[in-house]
Amino acid sequence: MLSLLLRNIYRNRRRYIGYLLASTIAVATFFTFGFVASHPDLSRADLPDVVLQLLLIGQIGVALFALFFVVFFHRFLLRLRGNEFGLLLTLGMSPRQLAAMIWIESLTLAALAVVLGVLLSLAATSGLIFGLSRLLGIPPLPVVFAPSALIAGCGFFGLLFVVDAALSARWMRSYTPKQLLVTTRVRQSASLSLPSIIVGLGCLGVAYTLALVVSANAVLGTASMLPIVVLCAVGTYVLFSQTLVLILTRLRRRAASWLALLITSRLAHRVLDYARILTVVTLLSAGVLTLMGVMIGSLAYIRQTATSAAEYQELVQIVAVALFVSFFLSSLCFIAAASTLYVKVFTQIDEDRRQFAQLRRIGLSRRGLHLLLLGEFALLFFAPVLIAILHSAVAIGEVTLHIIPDAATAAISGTWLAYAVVVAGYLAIFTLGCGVTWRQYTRLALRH
Amino acid sequence: MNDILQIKHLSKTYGGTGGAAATHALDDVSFAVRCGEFVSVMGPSGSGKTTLLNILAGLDTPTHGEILLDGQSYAGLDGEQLAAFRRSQLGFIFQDYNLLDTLTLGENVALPLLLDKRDPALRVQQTLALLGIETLADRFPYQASGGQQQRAAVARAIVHDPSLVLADEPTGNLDSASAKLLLQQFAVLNQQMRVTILMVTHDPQAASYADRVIFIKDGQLSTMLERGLQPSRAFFTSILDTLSTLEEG
Ligand SMILES: Nc1ncnc2c1ncn2[C@@H]1O[C@H](COP(=O)(O)OP(=O)(O)O)[C@@H](O)[C@H]1O
Ligand SMILES: [Mg+2]
Repeated sequence: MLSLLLRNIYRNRRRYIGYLLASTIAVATFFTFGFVASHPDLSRADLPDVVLQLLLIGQIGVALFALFFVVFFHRFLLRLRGNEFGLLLTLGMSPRQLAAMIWIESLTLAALAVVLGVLLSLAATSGLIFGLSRLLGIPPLPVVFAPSALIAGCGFFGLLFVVDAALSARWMRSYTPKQLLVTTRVRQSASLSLPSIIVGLGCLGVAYTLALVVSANAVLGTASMLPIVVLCAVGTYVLFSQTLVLILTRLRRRAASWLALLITSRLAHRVLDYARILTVVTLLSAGVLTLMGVMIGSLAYIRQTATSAAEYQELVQIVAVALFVSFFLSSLCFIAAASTLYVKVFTQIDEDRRQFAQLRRIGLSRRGLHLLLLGEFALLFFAPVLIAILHSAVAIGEVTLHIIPDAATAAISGTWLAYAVVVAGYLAIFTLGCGVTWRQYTRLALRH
Repeated sequence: MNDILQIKHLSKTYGGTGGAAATHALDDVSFAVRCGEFVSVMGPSGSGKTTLLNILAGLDTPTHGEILLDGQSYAGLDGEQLAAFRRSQLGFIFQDYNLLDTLTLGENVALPLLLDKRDPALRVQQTLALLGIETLADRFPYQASGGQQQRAAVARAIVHDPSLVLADEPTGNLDSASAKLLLQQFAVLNQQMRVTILMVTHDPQAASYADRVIFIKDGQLSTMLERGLQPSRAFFTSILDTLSTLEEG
């Protein structure tokens, strides 16, 4: 039984590696941020209060990411394995045994992720502490790993992984073997509904209005961050799924070419997965674009407006920490977006191999399959970025309107310029990523 | 009548490099299929039937020998040309149906036409009706029974008027009633629509629907049986007789 389990893990290694990678990143970033933020010399140093608040906000942001990474990727991994679980149940494994198996597997992976993540964070912390001291203009801080951060991290992840493992095991138990067996064969269906579209547009409208109006007040602005993100997420998800359904049914009904038929049918088959992935990547991309844009923009602004040397020194310290936090968070957003796409693309490879073999049997050439994948990847990579540009442009608009006092024209145009550069860079990176993924994937999926 | 398919001295060897023992899946096989003929290739499991069909389909290359379809040799066609050739000249039916899960039965049938840049509108409905599944066009494969899926696969194999339909144990996964229905439809397609069929099977009942049965064993042709004018039952009996002689020999 154990050797069977181990062999099973080995055969599914590509899937496990995606999840392991995601949870290791979650652990490593949480600990790294914790070590840096709770560095004993930092709280002793004479720093503005805002700096400490920023660090706290950063820590909360990192915790939310960790939550997302662990839960999202674990669910994804489990859903992909529905077939296998269904088979085990059919062969006579009891639901309780299945739940136990999932529970043990999850915790084993979690323990591995914690060990790897903490090791990684030790290395990353040393580098970051050095960098942060440079930014703050203070003598290099000694590298210290605060025990409080270690305890907080272990507590957080202990709870997170145990609860996640228990919920996942329960979740999988709730399906019948038949439901599990056909998870990948049965198509996901979503229907077009006017109320949904109205709700989706409404969510986005309220989010945008909140962003542009409420943020004038610093306290309210901070407090409304979470509802804005949630509304944005819901609105984006609803609109993506509804738009996909609308376009896919239209195109499919009068599909005049094999390419249109195959792409639309493949997307429609997994339409909810696609809507989910596109939403996540969109929001994460919007995060990167906004954070980077604001960061670079405000840097330019400080240089221009500081009047006295003391004021300049204090502003620089605040900006340095803001810079650190936003850079950290935007890197996380980027890594999360990239790994979401990676996991989405590479976990479908077994299913695709089978389907491509079928298509080759009836006469679709390799070139045709290359074209098919290019179309799908282009959608997967660029649709989110385009919507993210819209979202983040609103966010930048909010910043230029309210946060920059007196609306200094130079600062505003500086911020927009910085934003444009960030957008261009991000598009370039995504184009590259799309190309590389396409090359790698076609090579792997079309290999005999 | 002229030969639509000519197979000349076909051999296929797997492995045999780096010390591994070589498998002679096909060993100097030669035969021809006439236009409009229904030929069945019989042999026990592992005798090389699937290998033969894969090579005929251009999905695999022979170690030796030559194939001519309608006078045209496969040799010298590159991957793209072979794919184009496959989708215009050949139709396939597989034991596992080979329907795409993401497409409805109707879309599955339309696919060969779309691949060949032809308008599917009318043809698809006609072909589905011919096989009695026109009401199932909008169902997905998992919503259809095995027999219905296999009939959709047959529709897909003939929708583009191929010169030759290749079938690899098409009744292998079907219950006896669905199998019988499918074989009767093969006979109708062959007799009324003049579709040329090469069917591989290890089931004597299935083989008895053909005009001619070719027996292979260990990758070699062993003997051949013509139906001639005998009725199905008599032909079935002679197939059984031949099989038992072959097993003894
Ligand atoms: N890809 C392969 N590599 C090595 N040997 C193979 C391969 N495919 C088939 N064979 C061998 O070739 C022989 C014929 O196989 P096959 O054509 O599948 O037989 P059948 O379809 O009649 O059951 C068998 O001995 C099989 O093991
Ligand atoms: Mg076979």
